[in-house]
Amino acid sequence: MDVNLTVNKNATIRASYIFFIMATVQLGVGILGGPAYVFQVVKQDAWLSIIIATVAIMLNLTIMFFILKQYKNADIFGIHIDIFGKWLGKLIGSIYIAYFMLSIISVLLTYLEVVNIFLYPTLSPFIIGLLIITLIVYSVSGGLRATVGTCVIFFFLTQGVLLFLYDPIQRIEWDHFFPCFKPPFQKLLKGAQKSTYTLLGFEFILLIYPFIDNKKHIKLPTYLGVLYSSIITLASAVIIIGYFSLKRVTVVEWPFLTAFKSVSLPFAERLDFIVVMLWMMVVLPTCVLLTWMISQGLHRVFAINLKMAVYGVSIILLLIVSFLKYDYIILKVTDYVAKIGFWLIFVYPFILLPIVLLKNKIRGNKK
Amino acid sequence: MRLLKLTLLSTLLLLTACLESRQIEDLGVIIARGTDKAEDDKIETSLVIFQFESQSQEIAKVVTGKGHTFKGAMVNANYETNFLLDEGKIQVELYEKELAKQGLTPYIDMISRDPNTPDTLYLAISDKKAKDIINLQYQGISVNIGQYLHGVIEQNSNQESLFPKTTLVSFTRILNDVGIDPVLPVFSFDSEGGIPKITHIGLLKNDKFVGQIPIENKTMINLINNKLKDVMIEFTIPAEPFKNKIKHRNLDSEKLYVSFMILKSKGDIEVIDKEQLRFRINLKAKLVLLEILEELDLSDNETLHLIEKEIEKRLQQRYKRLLTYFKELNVDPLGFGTEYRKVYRKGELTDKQWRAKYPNINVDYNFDVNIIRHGETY
Repeated sequence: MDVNLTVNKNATIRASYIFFIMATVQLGVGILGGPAYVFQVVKQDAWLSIIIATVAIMLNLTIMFFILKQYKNADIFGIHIDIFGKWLGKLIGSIYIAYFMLSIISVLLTYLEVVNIFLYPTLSPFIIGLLIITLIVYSVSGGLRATVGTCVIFFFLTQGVLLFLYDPIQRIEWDHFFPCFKPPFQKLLKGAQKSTYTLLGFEFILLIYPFIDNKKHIKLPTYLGVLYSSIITLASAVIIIGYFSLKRVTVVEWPFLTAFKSVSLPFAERLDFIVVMLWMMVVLPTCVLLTWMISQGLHRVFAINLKMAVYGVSIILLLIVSFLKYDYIILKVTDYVAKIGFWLIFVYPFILLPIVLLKNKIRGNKK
Repeated sequence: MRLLKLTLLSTLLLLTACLESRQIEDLGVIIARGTDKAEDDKIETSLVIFQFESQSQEIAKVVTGKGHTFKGAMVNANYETNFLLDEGKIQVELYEKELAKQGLTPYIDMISRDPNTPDTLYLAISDKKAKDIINLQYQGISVNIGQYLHGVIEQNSNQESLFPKTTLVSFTRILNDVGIDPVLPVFSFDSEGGIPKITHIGLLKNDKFVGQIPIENKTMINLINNKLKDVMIEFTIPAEPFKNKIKHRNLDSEKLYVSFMILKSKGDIEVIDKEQLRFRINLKAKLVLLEILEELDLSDNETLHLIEKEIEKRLQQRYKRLLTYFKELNVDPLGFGTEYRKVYRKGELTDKQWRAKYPNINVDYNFDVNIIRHGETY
């Protein structure tokens, strides 16, 4: 396996699309319940933790870019092989793939549970799973460009949902935010750690980097995309803190979704049903990108044919999704993803950076 | 190959049959629910339902059911009707006072757990059996009783989020917030076929009904917790200070009756001294004089100022009286505790701590009432 990828010119994408990728891959089901987990730790200062997390992500991205820049055209799998050798590199690559698999499972399971609870209690998850996974296979098997195109289209299609938030925003009780700045800094950091599940997904940059046409301009759209999804997450945190009582935020499983229940328009009595359905368009790009990441990983690490990998992954996904139904298992999977994601995506690049630099130095000396 | 793929994909369309379908013709859509206490821990629910039958003229119907839980009672009520009961558009939840005295939490839990029930439904307490109100057949009501109750609550709060418009969202928020207690409208009716109306404001200590004050005080509560606009208010002030100003006496009374429209108001509670538990109610209001039962010389600036002063005094008296009662019951519907919590920095303020402190609070008043217009005539 080569460290650097040779990408055909007509398979590359423009850097500006990274904005849409970031904005869609980060916002999935996490935002529905995520801010409440932050709230558990830091109470009304959850918004502060999210801001800290955003800054941390920006820093993280800078480091990721720095690592990627050391190579000509490599992705994270190639870098691992280069640094740790064939076997260890493949092992770490597999850990990444397993993590991506786990996160797509948690996304799908959570969304299917939401549909089951809000809309059709008796509908088998297999059926909704089949429909969503068919769509995923359809977009991913179209190649990277189709995958990214899906993100762009669904990004624009779903922004309208945010308009419905006008009603919960009106009901916000600003008293809930006081007293501010109460928890110590350590707790705020802990809260920031809790917001990782919501904001994870930016690691996509580690995989898509070789496919970018104009690498010089990659930074701005990436940062803007991250900023965008952070602002949405922040807004959702502010809304749920103000909208629900401080005691109830932690009791409601998907506060962001429940907040839509108070919206009522003259032509539609209940907006939450529509929002649940529209949310599929938010979840779909996330799943599409994750599936692309998994199959691309399998292709790179184990040299499996890309199409076969997509089919294989989707069949496994469908099986898992139709058998795991218990709420506590879904919560546990989500919890694992948050924990592994924190170490693998947030902390690991900081360890990887010195190793990459050291290796480069040694290599330079040898020459 | 392409044809095969298309055929395979189009079979997915058949999956639509997997969805459970609910036709409106088969549904009894619940629009109001009255809940009463029944024997051995059971509750009895009376449901006003809409049924869309082509033959019948009456589309609203009342069914009742008993059970330990709401769902149980609903299933039980379903034996009375050939329509499948559905809670998707419930507008009013009416609880019997006796039930509210025991605490509403279990019932609130059910409606907030079920995603099917709307969060915008109104909560209210019924003075007597809720069943009696629901079953009331009154000539004067052209709509069914469920819509009537909903309309009464809606009309009496001409603004969003004003009492008596207590939606499930705001109720659960206030219920669970430390330092403020919820209030609910209390419906009652004369036993001789009277029409149900809101007569009292029910005071709740956490989720338990503990007392009530007359509905006339609703503006007093709204003045502090909200910005009012276009709301009527009536005052009775002593006639004594106006002795020289009265042009012509209409009523031979020692009182002066005036009514105003609140054009704009802004009220809040301020913590002055958190150690000594000193609070201040700040209230700024612009009024338009609508009615006065004596002929005063209103072109005179002084008269208006005098009225303003008397009103401020009167408001103070009213708040003092209310607060004494609130302290006695240890309920805090005005939300002094919320302000206290905001400045409280020794850990988290608990409900218990606040209840211990609440009876000892001192309140100052800082009112600024301005009459800016007095209608067509002087």
